[in-house]
Amino acid sequence: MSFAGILTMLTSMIAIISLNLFCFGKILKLNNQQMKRIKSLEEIETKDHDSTAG
Amino acid sequence: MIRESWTSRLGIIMAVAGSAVGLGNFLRFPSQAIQNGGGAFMIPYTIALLVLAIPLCWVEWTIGRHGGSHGHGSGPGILNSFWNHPVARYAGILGIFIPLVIYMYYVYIESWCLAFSIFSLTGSLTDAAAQSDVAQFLSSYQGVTTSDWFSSISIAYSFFLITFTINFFFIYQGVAKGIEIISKIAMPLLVIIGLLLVVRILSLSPADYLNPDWSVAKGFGFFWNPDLSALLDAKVWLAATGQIFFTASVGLGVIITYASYLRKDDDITLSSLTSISINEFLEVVIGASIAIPAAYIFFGPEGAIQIGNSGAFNIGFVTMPEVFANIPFSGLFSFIWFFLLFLAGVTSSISMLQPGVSFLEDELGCSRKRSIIYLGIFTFIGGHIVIFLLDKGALDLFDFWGGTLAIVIFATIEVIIFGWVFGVDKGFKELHRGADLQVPLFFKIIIKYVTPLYLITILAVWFYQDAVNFIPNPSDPNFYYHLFILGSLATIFATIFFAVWLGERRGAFNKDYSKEQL
Repeated sequence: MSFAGILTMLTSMIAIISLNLFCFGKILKLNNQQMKRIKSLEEIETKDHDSTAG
Repeated sequence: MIRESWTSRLGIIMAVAGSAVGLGNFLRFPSQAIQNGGGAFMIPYTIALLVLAIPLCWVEWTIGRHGGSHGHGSGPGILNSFWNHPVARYAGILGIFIPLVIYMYYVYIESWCLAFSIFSLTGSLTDAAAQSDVAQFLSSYQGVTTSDWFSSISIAYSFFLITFTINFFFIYQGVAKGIEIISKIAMPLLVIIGLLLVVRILSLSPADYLNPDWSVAKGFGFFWNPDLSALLDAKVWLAATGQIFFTASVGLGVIITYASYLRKDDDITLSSLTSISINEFLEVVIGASIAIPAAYIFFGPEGAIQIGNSGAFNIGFVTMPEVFANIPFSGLFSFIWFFLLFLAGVTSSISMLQPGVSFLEDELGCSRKRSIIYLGIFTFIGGHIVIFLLDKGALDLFDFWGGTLAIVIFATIEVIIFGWVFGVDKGFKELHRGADLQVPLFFKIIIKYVTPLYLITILAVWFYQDAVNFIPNPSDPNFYYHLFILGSLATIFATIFFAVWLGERRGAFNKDYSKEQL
């Protein structure tokens, strides 16, 4: 396998794997943020419920 | 009427990626790369990915989601919601015609994969491979010739019926319970099986080589060493563009239908890029690492060139069984290979049925059951033309007129409506509603000018170069068969045209269910 062949193969594969990691990384990050938001909203709701009940 | 929705972001990403990942990723891509400069092929391929596939995907996801928010899930209704004009409605027929025509031959090829995976386990295929007789095995299976293995088409027909039923079973379950679930299971499985085969090829020891010079490294070198002089040939650029076009599943009418089941504010920029990236992973990382390096190891450089030039089908159905015949547990690996192709096929073929189902449900008000029955009868009849006129060129004619030229025409119409009629600024605003990723502004120029020009050029060249080969020639012995096949295609188109006209008469294209959508 020539040097140019290795370079082409690695560049192509690394670029595609990086694109996959970028996309899935971003989706995971957004999901985590959403989960945190839902949790904090639930906490606020519980607090509101407690104070109303109290 | 309340339309279904995807239950998760992962669901639609996997479904769109599943539609895009098909036999082409594992068979057509390596064959095209080998014939067009090896590693150098990646240069025009990457350019086409950036200026054609990615922008077209964003366009299709945008118009699909927009159409869905107005209660439309197929070409005529979706394009009409972007441009309320009869031209848009009737051009949208292609968004139903293309996937149905492709389905009619694709499901038959898919059934070969299922059959060959079973024959790998029963040993008949491995026996044929050991005798280098797989070509004869395949043609007798198809009923084109007879052999000791098959004397008629009955086995192939039975597998066709099984595969046809499997597809309709999933489509009957609906978008969330059928397509989403099968895609979420099949796609990870596809990656695992693909990686397993790559590891097997990479782990072949020198003891396995038929010739000490035909090593794994040389096999990869054979595929990746760039022949830069090939870049001066226009044919190479055209081949790369064609490959990227087919692999991304754009212009088929499938992505717009899938996107129509998104909610109004669901992200599309990041989701569509993710589905493309999965498809590219399965094509460039896995697809390039199986068939051609394996063929090189067992058949040497000259054999591999011959195999590459013999086309995608030959690589998949003839060469690969003969490659596996040379390694231990040949039946098992042959089974894994054909099961990989079958899985890739199923996730693609079910996506081709959904535009038709959406049209019948959304525009003609049919129930799901009734839609499935109508579509089942329609595609079953069409499938028989391909099965019984295979040796008369039915598959090639269906593929060229329905699965090649029409795709480019439909993609051109979509991008012109998006960029010029609806307006690229408005289109970009729609694209970014609920977006998790900002699309760079230079894509506006690409979508408005570069992509349509690129598409029109491909269309002109393909028409000029190839169309003449697919027009019936009176001196051809199969002339009347060809006329019949083209007549069948025209009948399929006319039937859909009539159905759209019926939808128009019942006012289906003036409705707006946006307020009712979940």
